[in-house]
Amino acid sequence: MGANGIAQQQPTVLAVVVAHEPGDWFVETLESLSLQDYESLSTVIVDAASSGIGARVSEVIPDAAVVDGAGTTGFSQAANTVLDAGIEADFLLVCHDDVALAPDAVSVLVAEALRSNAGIVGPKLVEWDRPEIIQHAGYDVDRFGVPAERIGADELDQEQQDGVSDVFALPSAVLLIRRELFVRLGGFDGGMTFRGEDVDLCWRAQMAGARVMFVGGAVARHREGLVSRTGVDDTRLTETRHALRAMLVNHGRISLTVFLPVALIMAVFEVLLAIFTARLGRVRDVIKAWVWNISRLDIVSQRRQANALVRRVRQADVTALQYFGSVRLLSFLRRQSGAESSGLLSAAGRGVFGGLRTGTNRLAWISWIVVLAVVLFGSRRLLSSGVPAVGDFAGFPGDASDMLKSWWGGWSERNAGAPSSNLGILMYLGVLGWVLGSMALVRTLAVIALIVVGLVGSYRLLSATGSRRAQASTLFAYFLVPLAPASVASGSLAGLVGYAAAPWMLRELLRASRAAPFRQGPQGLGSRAAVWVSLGVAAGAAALIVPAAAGLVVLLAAGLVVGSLLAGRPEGVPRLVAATALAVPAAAFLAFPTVVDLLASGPDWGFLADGRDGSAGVVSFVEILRFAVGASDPGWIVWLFALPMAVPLLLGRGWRLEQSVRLWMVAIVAWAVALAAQRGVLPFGLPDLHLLLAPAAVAVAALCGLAVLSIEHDLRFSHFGWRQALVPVTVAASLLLAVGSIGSLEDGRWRLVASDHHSALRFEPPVLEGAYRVLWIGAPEFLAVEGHSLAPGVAWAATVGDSVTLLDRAIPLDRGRADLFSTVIEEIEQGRTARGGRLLAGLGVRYVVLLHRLAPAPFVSEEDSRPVPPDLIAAMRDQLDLELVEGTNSAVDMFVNTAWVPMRALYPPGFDEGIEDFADLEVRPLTAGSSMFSGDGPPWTARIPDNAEILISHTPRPGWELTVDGAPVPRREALSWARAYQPPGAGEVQLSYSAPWWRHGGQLVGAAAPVVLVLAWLRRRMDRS
Amino acid sequence: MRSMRVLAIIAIGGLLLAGVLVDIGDRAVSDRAAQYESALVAPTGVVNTWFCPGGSRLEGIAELTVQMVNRSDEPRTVTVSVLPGGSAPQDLSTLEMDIEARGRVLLQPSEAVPEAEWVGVMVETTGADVVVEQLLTAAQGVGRSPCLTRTAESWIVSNGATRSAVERERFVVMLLNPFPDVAVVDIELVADVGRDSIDGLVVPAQRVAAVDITSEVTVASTVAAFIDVVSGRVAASWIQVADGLIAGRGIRTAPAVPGAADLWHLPVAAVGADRRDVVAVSNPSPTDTAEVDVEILPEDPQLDVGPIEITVRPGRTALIDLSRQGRLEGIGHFSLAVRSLTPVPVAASITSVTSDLVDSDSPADTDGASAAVAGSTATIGADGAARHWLVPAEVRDADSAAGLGTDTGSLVIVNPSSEGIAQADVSVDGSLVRSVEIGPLRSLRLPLAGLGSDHFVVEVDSSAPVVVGREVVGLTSRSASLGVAVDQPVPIAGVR
Repeated sequence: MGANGIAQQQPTVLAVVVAHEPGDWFVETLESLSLQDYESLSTVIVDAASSGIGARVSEVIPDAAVVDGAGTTGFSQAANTVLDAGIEADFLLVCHDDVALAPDAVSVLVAEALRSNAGIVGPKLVEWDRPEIIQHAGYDVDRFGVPAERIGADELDQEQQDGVSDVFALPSAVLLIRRELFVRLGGFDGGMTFRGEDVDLCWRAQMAGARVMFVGGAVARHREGLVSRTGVDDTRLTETRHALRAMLVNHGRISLTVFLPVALIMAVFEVLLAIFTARLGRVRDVIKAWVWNISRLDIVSQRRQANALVRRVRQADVTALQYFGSVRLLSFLRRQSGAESSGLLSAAGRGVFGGLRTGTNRLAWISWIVVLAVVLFGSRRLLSSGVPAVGDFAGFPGDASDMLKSWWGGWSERNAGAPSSNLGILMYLGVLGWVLGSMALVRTLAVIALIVVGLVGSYRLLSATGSRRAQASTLFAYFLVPLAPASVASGSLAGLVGYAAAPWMLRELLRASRAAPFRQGPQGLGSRAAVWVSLGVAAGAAALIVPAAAGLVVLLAAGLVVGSLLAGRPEGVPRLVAATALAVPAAAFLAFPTVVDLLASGPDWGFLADGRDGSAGVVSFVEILRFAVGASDPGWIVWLFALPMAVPLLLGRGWRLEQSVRLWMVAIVAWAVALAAQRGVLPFGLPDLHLLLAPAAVAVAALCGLAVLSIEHDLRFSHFGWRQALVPVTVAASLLLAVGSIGSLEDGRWRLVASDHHSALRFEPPVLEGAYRVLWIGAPEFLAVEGHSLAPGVAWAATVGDSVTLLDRAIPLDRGRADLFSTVIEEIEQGRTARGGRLLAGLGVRYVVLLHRLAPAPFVSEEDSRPVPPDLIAAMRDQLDLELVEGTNSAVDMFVNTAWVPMRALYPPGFDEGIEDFADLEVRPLTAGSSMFSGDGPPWTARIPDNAEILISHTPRPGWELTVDGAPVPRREALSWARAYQPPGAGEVQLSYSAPWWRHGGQLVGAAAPVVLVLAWLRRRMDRS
Repeated sequence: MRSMRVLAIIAIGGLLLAGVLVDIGDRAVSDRAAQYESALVAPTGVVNTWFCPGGSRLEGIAELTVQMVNRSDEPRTVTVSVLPGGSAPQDLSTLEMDIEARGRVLLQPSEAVPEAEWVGVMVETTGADVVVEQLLTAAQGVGRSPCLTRTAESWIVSNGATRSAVERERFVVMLLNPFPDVAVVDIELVADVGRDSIDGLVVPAQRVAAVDITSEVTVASTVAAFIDVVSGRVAASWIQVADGLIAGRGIRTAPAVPGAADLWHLPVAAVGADRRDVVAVSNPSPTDTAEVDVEILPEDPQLDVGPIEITVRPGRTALIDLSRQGRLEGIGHFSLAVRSLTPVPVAASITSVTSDLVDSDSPADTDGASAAVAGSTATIGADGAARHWLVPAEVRDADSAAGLGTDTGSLVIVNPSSEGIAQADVSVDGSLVRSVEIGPLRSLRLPLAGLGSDHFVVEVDSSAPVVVGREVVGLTSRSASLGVAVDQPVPIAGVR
């Protein structure tokens, strides 16, 4: 009786506990119900297993009714039995048999249901044995019926969830639902035995216009041990199939038309991924889930009709309450990025939304959106017009099959020709080109992707610090460091690869050092081995594109070692050295079989130095510090990096100071090596300057990240003074940097020139007059392929045909007869011949191109030129059979060899009589034969007349064979280096090259290596989750 | 922590500062040393190409004959390309010729291109065994000089004359373009009567062009031609004919000088009553004045003659008439060194005119240099020296010449070293004839009559780089030139 004398009628609540052979804890469940402070509470126990638990129930709650649930399957059907019992209660409290409610739980739930006029309310579920850990706080659900936790894993209960909030769904462990609503909805979907029935029920409640609310003030402990109780782990299967069922049943027609195909695609993707990761169980579960639903379409149809009767809310309004994306996909991506470890489906999406709601995560997302938007903006013209073939950015063949053929073929036409050891990257690019249908698009995307990979690596670099701000700062700084624009503007593929790889390498080295804060996680041998493998993979992946890039590991490790010693922390030094050494196997595996080939053919430093000979360059130390090493000068604004870089050194304490010292030394070591290369003090050449500066770039970015950490953590310990002034100054400098650096993106092509030499040069198509070589001479940076040192700052390379493509960058196993080119060029240069054209004709050279600039004028000005030495030009012009092509762009000198003969041609027998030595060509020039085999090959086919010989001008190596009507043709040496085949008569001839079987095997292993490593990594990630 | 911070800041700052300081110093820029290209005729390759800029056809002012001498014991085959010139359309003609061991072949190339008014020749030989000379036969005599073994983008002709009316002088510059693309040439003419220029002269591919300076600059007693090849490269020589009281009677031809240098040697020089040697020193610099010493290197080691000091203004040519240098009287034959004292390179050549003022029946003036045969010669200077030389020579009649005591020509070996003695072996047809020693900055003159007879090739093998010249006296004319260096020349300025 109330104070005013009016009787206050308490809503009646019927607790429906579905019990299935419960254990000892069941007593506690019953006691929690009996101890409820809510008076109008009665209890019904549904004995789903007919196990005779009535005695156990009556001991605790004497007036509780026990309903025999025999014949029911699963929780849903058991709970639905109350529908047939004619109950009159206002609310139903549906409970599992493994929950223990707080004494006030029911009263709080009822009060909130009344206050909010909610249809379904649920308590905060905490773990049974650790009630300080929140287990569930309601679900967010995506449009595919997949729930996502609203809390993080093992989230401590600090009353942060004690409020009341609308949610899309609640766990069925404890639900307070209006009886009328439960009846109207027809209870749970009886087809959903376990898992997913709660999401379905709540989804339908939402359709019916009922609010679903989480009430944090009500608490219940939950054991959640279904798998251990049943002994069957069908979690993945039931979750998948019931989520699909919920989607099929509860979506409207239009929305189902949209989301069902998407769900199907995602299922296919999941199956493929599972197949590649050798998780056949997952394949089975996904397929069974779909088959199960498809086989029950009649039930789906019935339930959709039933839903139509209860629907009170537009489907669009219900959908708006659901998560926009895919919880499963997002959860997968978050796990792959290491953001959180959780099961793929069982707790998919756990923490996703919670994470999004936090300020730091929002900062990370915003940072990424901004950076990617700016990258796309800065690349817009590259995306629309393609990437010119400037510097290392050799063109791709027009057809993806050419890429695959070259990878498999194992022969490089570069220089004089030699067997090649093509890396698997060619195969992957070919496949990608085949998928996308455009090799040019693949090429453009590859350039941009390298930048993005580097940015991702920079973001992950300081993830161990746990500071999103530091990560975002590192990301922005790495984006603003002008190495990427300089590399693109200079056409430096090596620079871009270094930019992409250096952050990942540095991260793994820091993890290997186990210096704070990188000493998290298990410390066993397996963990250390994982770091070594990761480091090796980073090095190997870089080496797949630019072999010299693997050397960055050494450069980075050297900097860290010096930094560790300077910081007084030598204990990490052995680990760094060991990691550097032990990363080699993984890197070698990834770069197989090229590594073996290179070792077998002997070390060739010139190959790594790309034709550089150790002579001095023109870049000053100040320019090196500013990364002003290429075709674009970032200007004075780069000096502003000094401010954030100095912050951790001045403010940092503890590990932040130590790491800042290490990173400074990484930068200084890189700068020092670059300086040594530019001053010409080394007896050997070093790779591209852009590549050498990649460690410095990532160190600069990481120091900017540490600056944020120092300000966050260490500034508070400082007395008020100049240190506090550092913050606004640094912020101002960073803003200036950001604004100033955006200028490089203005042209939409990262200041890369709009045209290349090929557009300025006129080569005859080989198919018209015969196959030929082009001899390129210029600065190593200007050559599209690996050059051979000719003079200080000058290198040469020879390619076949009227275009230079990535295929020409294949790694030759040996130099073949490239020595002949060197000899001829030297003869010409020294003025020992005036018939250099005849000698070059013996090598099939039709054009000699001297490159003075990176790209044609006016795209590259004369100030940026590095002209070929005048005496070499004069020597070329002294040749009686090299005709200077007038009217070519001022960036090149192009000569046509008037004595040229095709590389592959038909001659009368004895055409080379009297030519005993290659030098004899000078006085006994070849007369032009009939061109043969001028199209794409090998293999080539043609028809020949009787009484003829075929000259093939390339390095003779086993594997080449010429057949006439299928019969091999004898061959002899010609021109003292090439091959002349002597067909017995007329017929159909075929010239082909076949690499040995073991080489093909090696290439397959090399191509499979990335897949194996990726799968191993995925499997490890999943196992950890 | 504090000490570590300070130490780190100091170390980092110090290293960065060190980097800046290290980079202040000059870099070890290994600039390619500009490859030395000598003005000498030097067939030093495995296959050598000789460029004979040529002369005219038979009806012209100086008919070209090419002489190819094989000094080896094996027969040689050479490829001769005859390049036509003039207005008549004519294609290049190529022929192969065999030269027997120790043999000599004369070719009149105008027969291969009969329509051509002018004709040049390109001869390709294997090895340095074959020496190619061009002989120009005119009404005034015969001029001869070795053909060139290089082309260049600039040439200098220091001393010509165009007094066509009085002295019957005609001055023609021959340009040979052996390349498959055209050459474009600018010629600046600097004469005592003024300046003129020919711009944009096109020399078609594989053709010769004769530029008759006489029609461009008339009545000039001295005219220098500075040739600038705007596009392409050419080989250049010049022809000077004269028949007058002052200029004398004769024809002289010589290669043009392909570039300037700081030091030149002129091996053949003399003064005498019937002889007028003129040294021409050209300064191609458009802005800088050259201070030049012409040093006298007499044969007699006891003699010491002071240098002749001259100043050559920018773009001008200075002429030194040795016959008017009183200090040279009575010193006999000598050599000259033309040294630029300022860092302004110059080009040097010498012309010599002998007249028949002296009674040919009288004995030769043994103190001075007398010549029984009138004529004129021209020799360009040598900016390089070599250890091995070939010198085609001929003695018209050694016995009678020796009996008469007349000059039959001579071989001159100059040691440009200021310190070392050069020991030279002089061989003819593979047989050692003389071994001589030449002191520092001295020259040695060997009469050709004492070395061989008729046509022969003199080989000079020296222990140190030397310069070798020759003066050949024919029946009706004289010629002088440098020998042919058959190993890689070194710059004289670098010889110590």
